[in-house]
Amino acid sequence: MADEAYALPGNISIETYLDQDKIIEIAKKSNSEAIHPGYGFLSENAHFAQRVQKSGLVFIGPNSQSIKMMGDKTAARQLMIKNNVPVIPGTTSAVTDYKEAENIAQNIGFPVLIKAAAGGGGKGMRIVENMEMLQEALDGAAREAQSAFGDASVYIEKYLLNPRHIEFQILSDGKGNTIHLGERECSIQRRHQKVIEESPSVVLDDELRKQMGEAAINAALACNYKNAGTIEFLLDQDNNFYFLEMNTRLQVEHPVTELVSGLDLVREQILIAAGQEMTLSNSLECFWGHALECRLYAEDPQNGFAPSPGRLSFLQPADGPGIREDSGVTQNSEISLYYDPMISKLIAWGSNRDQAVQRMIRALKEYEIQGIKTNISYLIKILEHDQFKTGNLSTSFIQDFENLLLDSKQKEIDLFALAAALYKNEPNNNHHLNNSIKNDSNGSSWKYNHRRLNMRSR
Amino acid sequence: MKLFAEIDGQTITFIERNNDERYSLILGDSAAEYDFVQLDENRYSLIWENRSYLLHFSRKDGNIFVTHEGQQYAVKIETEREKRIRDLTSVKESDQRDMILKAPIPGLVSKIDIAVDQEVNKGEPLLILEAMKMENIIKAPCSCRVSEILVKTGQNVEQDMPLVKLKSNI
Repeated sequence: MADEAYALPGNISIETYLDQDKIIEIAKKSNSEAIHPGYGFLSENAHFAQRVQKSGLVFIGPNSQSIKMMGDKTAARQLMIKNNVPVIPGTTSAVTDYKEAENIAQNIGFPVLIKAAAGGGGKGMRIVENMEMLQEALDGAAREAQSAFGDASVYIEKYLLNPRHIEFQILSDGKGNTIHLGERECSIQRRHQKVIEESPSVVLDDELRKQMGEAAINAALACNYKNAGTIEFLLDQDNNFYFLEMNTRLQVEHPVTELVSGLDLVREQILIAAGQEMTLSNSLECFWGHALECRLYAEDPQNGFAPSPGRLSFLQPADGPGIREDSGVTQNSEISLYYDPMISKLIAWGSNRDQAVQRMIRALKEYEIQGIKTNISYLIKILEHDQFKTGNLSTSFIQDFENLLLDSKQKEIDLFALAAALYKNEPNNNHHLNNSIKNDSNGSSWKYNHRRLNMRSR
Repeated sequence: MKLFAEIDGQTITFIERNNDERYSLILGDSAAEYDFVQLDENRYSLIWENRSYLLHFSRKDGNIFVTHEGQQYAVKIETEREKRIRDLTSVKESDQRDMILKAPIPGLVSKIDIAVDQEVNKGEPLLILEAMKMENIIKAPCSCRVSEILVKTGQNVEQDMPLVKLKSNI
C-alpha cells in the first residue's frame, strides 16, 4: 500500500515531478521496491524507466525499449506499417525543412495535420487548411514541441474529416499473454485535448471490435509490450480505422474501462510488474453497463478557454448513485499556473448509456466550486446536446457546435438577473436598506423579520 | 420603483413592489414568485417557478457575480436613481486612439513578435503567453502601431497587467 508521502521541494515541474534524481532518491530512502509513474510527466520517458531499472527498482510500466519505439511517432508509424496495422497517409520521417513540408502537404492534400514527433496530449499540434497557414503552424508546433518535450521535430499527415477517436486498452504480462479490455471512445475533444470519454462506444459492433482489438494486440506485440498501454485509432465515417499512436502508460480516462470491466487497472499494473498473474487471461468481449468520464478543467469557456488559476474558496463535489470522482483538489487548494489545468475527473456509471449520461448531468449540476472558472456548464451543454445523446460523435463535435455550446437561453439570463436583484436586496448586502432600517423610529426587529419572511413567501 | 439589471449586454427591468410590507419583484407581465433562502455566507437557495436553484454570489467592481450550475455571470443592479446618476455622469467615450493591451490571463511571455514603432494589422500575432502548458497567441485588436512594449520575453505576468501600448491608425 502507498501510505507514505515525501515532499518534492520546488515550484515548477522541472524542479519537482520531472526531477528524476529527486524521485529515485526518495524511492530508495523509503525502501520502495517499485515506482509507478502515473500518467503525466515521466510516465513515457524511456530514459527514466531505464534509470529506475538500473538503480535496482522496478518501473511499473513497459520496458524502456517499448517506450522508445512508440515514443518516436515516426518510428512507431513505420513499425505499424511493417506489422500490418493500418496507418494514416503521411510522412515517415521527421520534417525539418519548410520547403520539404510544402511538398509533402501538396502531395497528400490539405487539410494536413502537423504533430510533434515526440509528443502527445495535443501539445505541438496544428491543423493546416491551406498553404498560407503552413509557415505559422510549423513554427508554432515546433516551438510548443520544443518547450513541452525538448524536441522540436514534427511530422505531417493527412487530416481525416470528422473521424471518431477510438482507443483500445491493452494488458500484457510480458510472458506471452496480451489481451485487450475493449474500447474507449474519446471523440469529444477541444484543441486535441480529450474532454469526455466513454466505454463502450455506440458505433462498434462485435465484428469491428474484434478487428480493432486484434490490430491493437498486434501493435502491442510489435513493440514487445509489457504492462498496461493504449492503442489509439481514428475511425472514419466508413468504419475504416487507422493507428494514431500508442500511449505506453496508464491513461487519464482509464476509470471508464475499470467501471465496465470490474478491474482495477493500477492493481493489474502492479501484479504484472511483480511478475504475478493478471486477473483475466482473455480479452473482454462484453461490458458491464456504460461509463462516462468528464474532465474538469480550470478554464473559462466564456473567455476563449483561458486558464483560470486561483484559490478554491468553496468546494462541494458531487456524489450520488453511480458517481465516482478522481480529484486532486480540496477546498482552499491553490490552482497554480505551473501545471495542467485539469483539476478533477468525474466518472458516471449506468446500466446503459442514457442512464450514465443522465447521472453525469445531475452530478455536474450539483457540483459546486467557487474561486476559479471551470468548464462545468460547458460539459453540461455538450451532454444535453441532441447529437451527443444519439451518440453521433466525431472529433470535430466541439468545433461544429462551439457557438451553440457557449450560448445561454434568455430564461437563464433572467434567472441570473433575478438572483442578483434578490441578493442585493438581502438586508445584509444592501447598506442603504440597512441604514434606513436602523434610523427608522418604527424600525423594530419584528417589522424587519416580517419583511424578510414576506420576501420569501412571494 | 424600478430596478435595472445589466447582464450580458442587455438590461432587464424589474418592478419593485412594497405593498403592505410585502416585498416583491415583477419581471415582465407576471409577478416573480420566489423563495430565496440563505444557506451559507454567499450561498443561497432560490425556488422560482417551481424550480430549485443553488446559487453562489460574490462582488467585484460594483458587479454581483452569480454562479449557477458552473455558469457565472456579472450583473449590475441599479435603482432608477442610481442609473440616472450614472447616465448623467458617465464620461463620453475617451479618445480611442491610444490603447493599452492587457494580459487576458496570467502567464509567461514566451515570445514577442513585434518591435516598437512597428505597424501591425488587425489579428496579427503580437506575443505569446504560455500558461498551463498551452500557448496563447495575443493578437492585435485593430490595425495599429506599436508605441511601447511593457514586458520582456521570459517574464511572468499577472492577469490584467499591461503588455503593449498601441496607437490606432485612424
